[in-house]
Amino acid sequence: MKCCSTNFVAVVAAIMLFGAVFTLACQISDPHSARRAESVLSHLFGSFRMLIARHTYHEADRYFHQGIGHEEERAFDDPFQLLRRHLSPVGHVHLQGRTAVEIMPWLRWTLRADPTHVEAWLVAAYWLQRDLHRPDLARAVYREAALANPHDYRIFMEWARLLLREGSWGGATRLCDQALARWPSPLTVDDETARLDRARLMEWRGYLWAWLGEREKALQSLEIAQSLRPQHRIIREEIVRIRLAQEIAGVVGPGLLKLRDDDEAAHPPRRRDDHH
Amino acid sequence: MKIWVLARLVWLEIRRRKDFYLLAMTFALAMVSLLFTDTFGAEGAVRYITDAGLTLAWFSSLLLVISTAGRQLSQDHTSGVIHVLLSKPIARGQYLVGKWLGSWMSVVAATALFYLATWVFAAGRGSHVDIRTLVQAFVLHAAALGMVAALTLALGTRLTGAAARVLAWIIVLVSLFIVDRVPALLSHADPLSASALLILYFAFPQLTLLDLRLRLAHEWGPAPSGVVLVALAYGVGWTVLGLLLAWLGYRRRFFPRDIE
Repeated sequence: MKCCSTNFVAVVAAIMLFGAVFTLACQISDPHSARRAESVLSHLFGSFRMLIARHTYHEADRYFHQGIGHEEERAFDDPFQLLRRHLSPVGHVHLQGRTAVEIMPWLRWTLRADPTHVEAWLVAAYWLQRDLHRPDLARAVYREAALANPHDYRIFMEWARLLLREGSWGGATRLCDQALARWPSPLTVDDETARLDRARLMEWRGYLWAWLGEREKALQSLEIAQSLRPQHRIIREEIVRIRLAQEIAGVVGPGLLKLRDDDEAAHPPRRRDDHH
Repeated sequence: MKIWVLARLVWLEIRRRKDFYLLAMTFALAMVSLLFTDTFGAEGAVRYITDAGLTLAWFSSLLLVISTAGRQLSQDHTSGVIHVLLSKPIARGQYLVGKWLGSWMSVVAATALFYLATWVFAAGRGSHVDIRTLVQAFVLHAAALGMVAALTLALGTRLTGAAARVLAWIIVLVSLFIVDRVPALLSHADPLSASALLILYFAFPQLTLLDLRLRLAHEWGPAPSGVVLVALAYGVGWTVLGLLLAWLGYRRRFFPRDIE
């Protein structure tokens, strides 16, 4: 009897030890730590951490859908599934407003396990600024994300988007430059998202050059943006305005105004497998 | 009466052991550390507390029930207590039901404490846990524990304690993580795998039917009573089947004095 109890204690102790070592591995392999490269624990737990991050990110998505997972194609129906449908919530609903905060613990755990999960950083910042109305926290998230992923242009781009919405033109200018300097890393030049993002960055940079009074540079940027997005009406209008206007320095044009006032300018990064 | 005495002996044994206290401490530690989860500075996240508390309650209760029910028969065989017990006017069926009842009751009592602690932690963070849904979740959880206790006991009639526990864990894990995914997995399975998956689907218990964690955590309100009763009947059915299998495996079993 004593032996059984000892075994039980050993199993629970082993689970606790594993948890402690895993937590330690997360801390030691923190991207801000200088010991990152030499951390044996981070290598040992590398794959496991990716699995954890994948699971917690999936849970964040499930929480966003109020506990309902993605509908899967089923080969047959039977009384068990009928019963399950009555017992478990079904349908397609989203968290809205303040309740969006419920996904935050899962995103934080995702990023503790895998700080290079850029999508999770961007999703966290998006909901903090949009539904939770905490742009200050979103900015802190972008800062942390940039430290963890200094070569990823997407973080600087979304950070710039936030500052554009706030009307912080100077900060947005610096961030657009940083994003363009890093583009297309980590994507490739041929990636469709990367190409569209470059067009957006050139467009924003063009508006900001105009605000700075740099007519030639503004036109150069906007013409590149127009070549990438020829159907974009505001770019066309801005090019005409910048060419014809006497004074452009300090003038907030319709392009910047739209970025500042349009809620739809920002959108959450979509999962590759999200079909909603 | 005899059943009750046997159940009480199991209950007393579990109170003496350290298993529950160790799990309770781990549970409390985990919950306290969850309370300090950094949510990027945003405040108000509570659902994860309920969800994590109930998940820990499920894990802890399964650990307890498999460990408790899995050792009941083997420790009596090893210590020779079985010879003393069976020399008394007690039927083998009564012996098994007494062991099951003791294991089940003690683990259900422990689970009730885990639920209470979860409710306290969640309420402390401002969550409005619906009591009716909480009761439904607890009742179905208790039914699931009854199923697992009966199945583990049935395995223990023919296997050593360790083997019974390992096999019980395999059944539980497959039931929790694979069985309810079979209808989706079948869409992409070849004919041979599809047959194996179908056998798995209908032969293994559907433990997830008795799991209302998500409904409770995401505040969907109570499930329809009729549906809960059907799920409860399913759990009771499996429990009766498990006990019947245990009795069939035990009624003619011979216990030589030099065994083990």
